Amino acid sequence: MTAPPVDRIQGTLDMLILKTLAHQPMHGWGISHHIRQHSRDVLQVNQGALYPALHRLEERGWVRAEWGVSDSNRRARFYTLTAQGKKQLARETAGWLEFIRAVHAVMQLATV
Amino acid sequence: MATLIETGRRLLRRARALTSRARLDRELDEELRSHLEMEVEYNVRQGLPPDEARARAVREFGGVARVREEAREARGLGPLEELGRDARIAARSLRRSPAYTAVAVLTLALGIGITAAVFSVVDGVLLRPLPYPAPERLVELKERNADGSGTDFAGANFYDVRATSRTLARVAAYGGELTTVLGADEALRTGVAYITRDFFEVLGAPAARGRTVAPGEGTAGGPQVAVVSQRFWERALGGTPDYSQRTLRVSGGAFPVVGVMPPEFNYPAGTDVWVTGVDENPSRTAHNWSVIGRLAPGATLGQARTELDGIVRRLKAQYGEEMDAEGVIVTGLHEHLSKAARPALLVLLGAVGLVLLVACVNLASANLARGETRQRELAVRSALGAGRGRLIRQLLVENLLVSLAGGALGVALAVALTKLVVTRWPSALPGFADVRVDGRVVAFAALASFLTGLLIGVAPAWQVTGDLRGAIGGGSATSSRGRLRTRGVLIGAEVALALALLAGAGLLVKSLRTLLDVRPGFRTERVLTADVALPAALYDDTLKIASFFDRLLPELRAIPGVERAGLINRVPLGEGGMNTGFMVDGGDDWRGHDADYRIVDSSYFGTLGIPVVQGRGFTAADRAGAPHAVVINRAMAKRYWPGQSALGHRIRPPGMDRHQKEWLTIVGVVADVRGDGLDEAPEPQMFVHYAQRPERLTNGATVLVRGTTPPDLLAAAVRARARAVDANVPVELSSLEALVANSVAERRFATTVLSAFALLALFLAALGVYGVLAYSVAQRQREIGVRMALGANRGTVQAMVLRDAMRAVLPGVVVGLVGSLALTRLLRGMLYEVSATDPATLAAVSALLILVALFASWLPARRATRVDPLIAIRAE
Repeated sequence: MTAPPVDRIQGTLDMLILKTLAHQPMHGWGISHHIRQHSRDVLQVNQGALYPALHRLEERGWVRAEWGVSDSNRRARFYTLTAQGKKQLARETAGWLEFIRAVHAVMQLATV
Repeated sequence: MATLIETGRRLLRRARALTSRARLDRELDEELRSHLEMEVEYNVRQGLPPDEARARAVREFGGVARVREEAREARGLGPLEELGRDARIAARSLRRSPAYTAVAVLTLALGIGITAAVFSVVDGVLLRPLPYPAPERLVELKERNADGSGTDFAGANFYDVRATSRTLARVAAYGGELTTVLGADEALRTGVAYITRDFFEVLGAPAARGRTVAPGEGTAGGPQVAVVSQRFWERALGGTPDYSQRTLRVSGGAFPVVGVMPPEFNYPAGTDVWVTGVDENPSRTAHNWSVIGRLAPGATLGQARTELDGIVRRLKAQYGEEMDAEGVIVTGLHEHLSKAARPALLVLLGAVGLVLLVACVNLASANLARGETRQRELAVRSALGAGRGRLIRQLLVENLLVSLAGGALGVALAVALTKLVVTRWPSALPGFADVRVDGRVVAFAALASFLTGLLIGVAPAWQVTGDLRGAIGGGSATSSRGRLRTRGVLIGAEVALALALLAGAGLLVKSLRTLLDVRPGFRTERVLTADVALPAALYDDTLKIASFFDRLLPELRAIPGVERAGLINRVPLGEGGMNTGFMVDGGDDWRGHDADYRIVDSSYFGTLGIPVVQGRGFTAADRAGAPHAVVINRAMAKRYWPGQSALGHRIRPPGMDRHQKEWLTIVGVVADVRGDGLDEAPEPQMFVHYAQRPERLTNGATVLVRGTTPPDLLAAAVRARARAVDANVPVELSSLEALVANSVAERRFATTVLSAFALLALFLAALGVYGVLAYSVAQRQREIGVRMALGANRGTVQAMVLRDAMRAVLPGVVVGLVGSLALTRLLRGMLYEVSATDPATLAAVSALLILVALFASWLPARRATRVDPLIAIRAE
């Protein structure tokens, strides 16, 4: 089963979420915080984009959601990467690196 | 494996998304709220005062409503939800064109209704297994004659088969007749089956109350018992448990009632009383018994055939000339029972399928036209982002809605039709048939609806959505030319189908009319028939039987309005009767001589207007003590005394009655009558006088009363006089005309139904032609207006429209004629003295169809010429 092609920008957010979840299951706020922190506040994931993306990923079967309790004892919905999600992450990562290399090559050429 | 689990999970989610959208929304709200709180906590941890921490979190969070909406969209609509949405849109769109919707739903209701009704008959007769355990193990046996035809078993042969066979677990013989039963609340003439002891065991049918035949019963010298139907128990035995106190007297024997069968047990069809017995007749040619058997475990039909055939062939070798059977024919019981009805039913099923097809074609064509007018709507939706698949699905859903509504109405119609057939035409169906609209029929109707919905929807949807460019702006018939051509082809197809049906119906109608014009050879007008069932138990000797009729006949002749009254043991076109071999002129070999055996009185021939062509009829002189006389029919004279006079020859039937040694002298020859069916050539018949040989009248006797008034006016008087002679003798009244009608009931049924189907198809085809032309005239209003403005007169314009119509119709007629030539072959067995390719019929139905099509196209053609050229031109 191949997933339909995903738009690059949206696909980037999906990839970031999947990558974040690759370490451990996490709730929505945790994911956005993780991305913000690791990008040193460059990437700020808006909730308006985050939750539709999470539901889309869940719909595609790449993540699974369960209600749990957060560190601060708050009820939260935890997302876990599925086996399919891992494969998708690998695909996206490869695609991403290719994209970066391509853009990088073009940019280097341009500065010469 | 993991994929499988994930897929399952997703399906589950989708199902949940559909069923519990409210809950998912609630969860999402909670999730967002929890996110906000975490953000607030985070801000506080970063050192902001609580108020500001919350304010900032809320500011960054943005609109909750939009997030919720987008998240919901990301979850996706479930397919069911989409279907629901499509259905809502479809319903709205159908409501906007109520005329189309009504016509379409009614057309399909009619089509699916009659199809389901025919299917319920086919299912009841041909498809549904017989209502016995392991019905496929039941077989029917017949003795095989030298010419390969089958005949009933002789008792002696049956017992030998029963004793020897290993491939049959059980086997039983039975014979049914209408006869008089005494010992119930009143003397009744009813269906009685004489059965051997294993009859119920073969069928695997237990009694509903009491029991069937117990071991030891029904054996030679053992006790004999009776089992009755639920109906008989309720109507004639009071419906109480003390049935077991009753003893029925049937045909000279007394039978205690031991059980009541359940209401659905109906074998042989129409039986109310089953009595056991043993046939002690040693004759190997007394073919009196139907035989059914149940295959032994593991035995196949083929093995049974081989074994049973071998048994009878060995018997033949042993008994030689004493026996005429040369083998056995083994048939599956269901196949045997439904054999006669099968061809007509299959023809009707095929025909009704064609009608449904015509209806579909009609609606497909209407759909095309409708789709065209909707192109603008579709184009707008397409421009707004609906893909072609989406539009096609939308149109299909619309058609499915129509066809399912039609199907639901159709099931109601099928229920009514099936009831009508069962109550109005019982004689047209085999007696065992259990015809009703049940789950199977409803499932069939549902499937038919679904398929018709696809059929009427797919092609138009495809074509209509094919090229929507330009449809928004112009909105007019840019590409309608091609579509009109498609519709022309559809019309042609419709016409062809209708013509094939009309041809079949025409041939059947012509057959029936030819048959009803057949002169049966006897008068049928104003003749009342009174079936008189003498109880054999009371009329156990020759004198008693003869004296009953000696008293009854003068009584009947004395009724005012009665011209004549006669007697015969089996009325022409009636049921029952017997036939016999006979020796000739002192010889002792009866083989090769065979004739029906009829017992009459001296006024029978006169009553029915059957002329004596040679010698004399019976007179009062043919008394009991006088030398026995016989009158034969012309067919018998011709067959056995060709080219010479039969008068004076003597014959002797060896096993027919109590006068086996007495020779009969031929004293007269009467004209032939069609006694076995209007379409059957007369068979040799001998007539004896009841004063000399009345014994067999206890197997059935009919008094014929010819009046100056219609038979029903005499009925009460005839019944009263018969009762006055002996109240223990049930009398059943009918008329010869009814018998004639009954003899063609099956044929009339098939003819009527097929004609109705053909007319319906014709009507639909006319409707189709009308629809297409009306539409094309409307489309071409402007062109027509221009033509008329340029001086074309009405005649020219009308001719143009009619020519267009005929361009579609005539090829359809040609194709239909060719198809008819192929299809009417299937009818051959149902035709009487009409060729399956009868040119007159084919010409007549073609002419009829063309006339109807011309009329259907003349209406729009006329309208076309009423167009005011100016208005037409300005219209756009």
